[in-house]
Amino acid sequence: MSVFTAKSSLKIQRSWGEKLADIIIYTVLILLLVAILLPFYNMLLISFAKYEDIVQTKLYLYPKSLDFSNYRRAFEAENFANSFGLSVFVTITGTALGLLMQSTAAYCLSRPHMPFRRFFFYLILFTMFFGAGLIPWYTVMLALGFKDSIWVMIIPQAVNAYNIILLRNYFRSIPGELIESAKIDGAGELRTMFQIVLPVSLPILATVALFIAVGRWNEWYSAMIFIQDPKKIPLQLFLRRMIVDATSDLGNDMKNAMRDANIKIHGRSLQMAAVTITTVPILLVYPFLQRYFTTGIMIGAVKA
Amino acid sequence: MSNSPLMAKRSVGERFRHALVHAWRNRTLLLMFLPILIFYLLFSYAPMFNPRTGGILMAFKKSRLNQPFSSWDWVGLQYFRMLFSKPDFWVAMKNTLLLSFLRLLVEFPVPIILALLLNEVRVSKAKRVFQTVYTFPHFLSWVLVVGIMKDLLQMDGILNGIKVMLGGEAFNFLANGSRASNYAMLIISSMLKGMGWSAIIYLSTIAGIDPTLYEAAAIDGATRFQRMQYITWPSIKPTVIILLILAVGGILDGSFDQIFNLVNGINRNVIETIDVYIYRYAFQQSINQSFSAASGLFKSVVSFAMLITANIITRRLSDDGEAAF
Repeated sequence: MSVFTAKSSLKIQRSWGEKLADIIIYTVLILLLVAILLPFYNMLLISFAKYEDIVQTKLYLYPKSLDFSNYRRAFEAENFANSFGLSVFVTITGTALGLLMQSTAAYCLSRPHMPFRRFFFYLILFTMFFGAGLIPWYTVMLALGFKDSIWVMIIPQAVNAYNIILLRNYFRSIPGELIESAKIDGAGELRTMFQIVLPVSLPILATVALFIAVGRWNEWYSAMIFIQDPKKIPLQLFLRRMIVDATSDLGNDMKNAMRDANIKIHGRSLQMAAVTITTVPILLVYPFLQRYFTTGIMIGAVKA
Repeated sequence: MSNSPLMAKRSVGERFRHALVHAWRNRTLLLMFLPILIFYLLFSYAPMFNPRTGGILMAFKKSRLNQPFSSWDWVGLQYFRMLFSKPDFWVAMKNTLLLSFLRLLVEFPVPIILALLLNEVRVSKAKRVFQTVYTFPHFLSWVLVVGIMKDLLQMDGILNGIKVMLGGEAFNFLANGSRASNYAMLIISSMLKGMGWSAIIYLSTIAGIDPTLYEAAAIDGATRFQRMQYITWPSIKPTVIILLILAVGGILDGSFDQIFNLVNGINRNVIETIDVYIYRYAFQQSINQSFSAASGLFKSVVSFAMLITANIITRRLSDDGEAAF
């Protein structure tokens, strides 16, 4: 009897502790969730707001009206649609080229009989930890003719050490018998890669393809350095010019005041509409991205 | 293999011949690899070593605009001395080290804690929702995130609106010289942006733990916290060590994208890091190529040395020779 009560009271006590732990865990996780979601809520809220509403309402927390004109104005802004199209092109071309180059590199490095395998591997690995620096890189890129060329956002990024290692580790986990049987059937390296190795590596290929695609969509840095022609700038750089350059301190009160007066009228909502438009493509591919990356990374990242 | 010097000598020659035969037999693989090799030579190694443009040797010569590299004069370490004598370099250095130290302190442990907390969520639907939201911001560019931040934090923004409503005064978060305010902004924003992504690697390690370990521990009466302490933590520790080494090696990488998009004339003194400094001298401040090359090379060499040192130290400290590479 006494044993029974002792045991049950212990159980109640423990489940109370468990409950308290659960409450703390969920509170922390929900607070973080809200902290991430609120900025996006604010982004949508402002992008659909009328200028009068933002100005007249002290604290604009919920939509008073839905105004789609900011989105229309964003697309009508000079070169916005152009930049959008260019970013789509860079993303598609860059992903196709990058995936082909990186999976070929990884396939070669995963084959046990690849000549100079270790040497090539370290050649690639080294670039992850040591770079020439901005100016030596810049001069070489100029010499290669990348000034004012949209290919600066596609070609130099077609190889990526991190992705190659991820792919190589996955390819190495494929059972050797599978590849050897192809060899016996007389398949060459190219056929082995395209007909045996790649078809069984879809999760990692999808992961890497989406990494590359997101990276290309987010590209602005090389465009900022090499591209002057406003018709050739990607969406992210357009956005940067619209937001960062437009609100940073110009170091001149007169200039600042003029610029502020200019953008105040429809600035905030237009900016947030442009930001929303840029976010949407990522939001669209994200579910696919998420389905694959956990398994892809788990297998790919076992050992660098 | 062999002790006889004669045999060793022959085996070297033999090995060389073998390597050539082996390479010839596998020439398809080498041919497939050729484009990748060319890419790495062009975009990674040509910038380092290139007799025509100078590569990293630029830092040791005095640049002359529009003149070939071969006509530049050797000046030794002059530009490094110039770099070390510049007060704004030391300001950037101090900012970089301070920020990286704070990031190691806050941004490094947060994903680990997050993974441990997420692992305790047993409702799989809730877990998925949390993970989906936490990971999403990683895939957005800093340009975009800074765009969202600027709207939130500006004088008429929602944060100042709440502050004023609570009886405070509006504060210009985006343009002020306060170290505390700026660092809080930088660390909170990159923590929220990156923690979900960084937690994935820990979560996938945890997912690989044999579940019978937990069951056995539960039968033995281990509390939730004890299970975390004695099962979960030891299994993610090797991953933590590797990532810590990489984080220490990257201490001079001051999150360029984030800071470059937030820096302005007013907060420059407290948030400009080495990367942004190098960029400023390369493209905005002057056209002294040698000086820019020297500052870039200084950063590359120091980071590389730090990474190697961190790796050696970890290998010494850990009993089973565990290290990143």
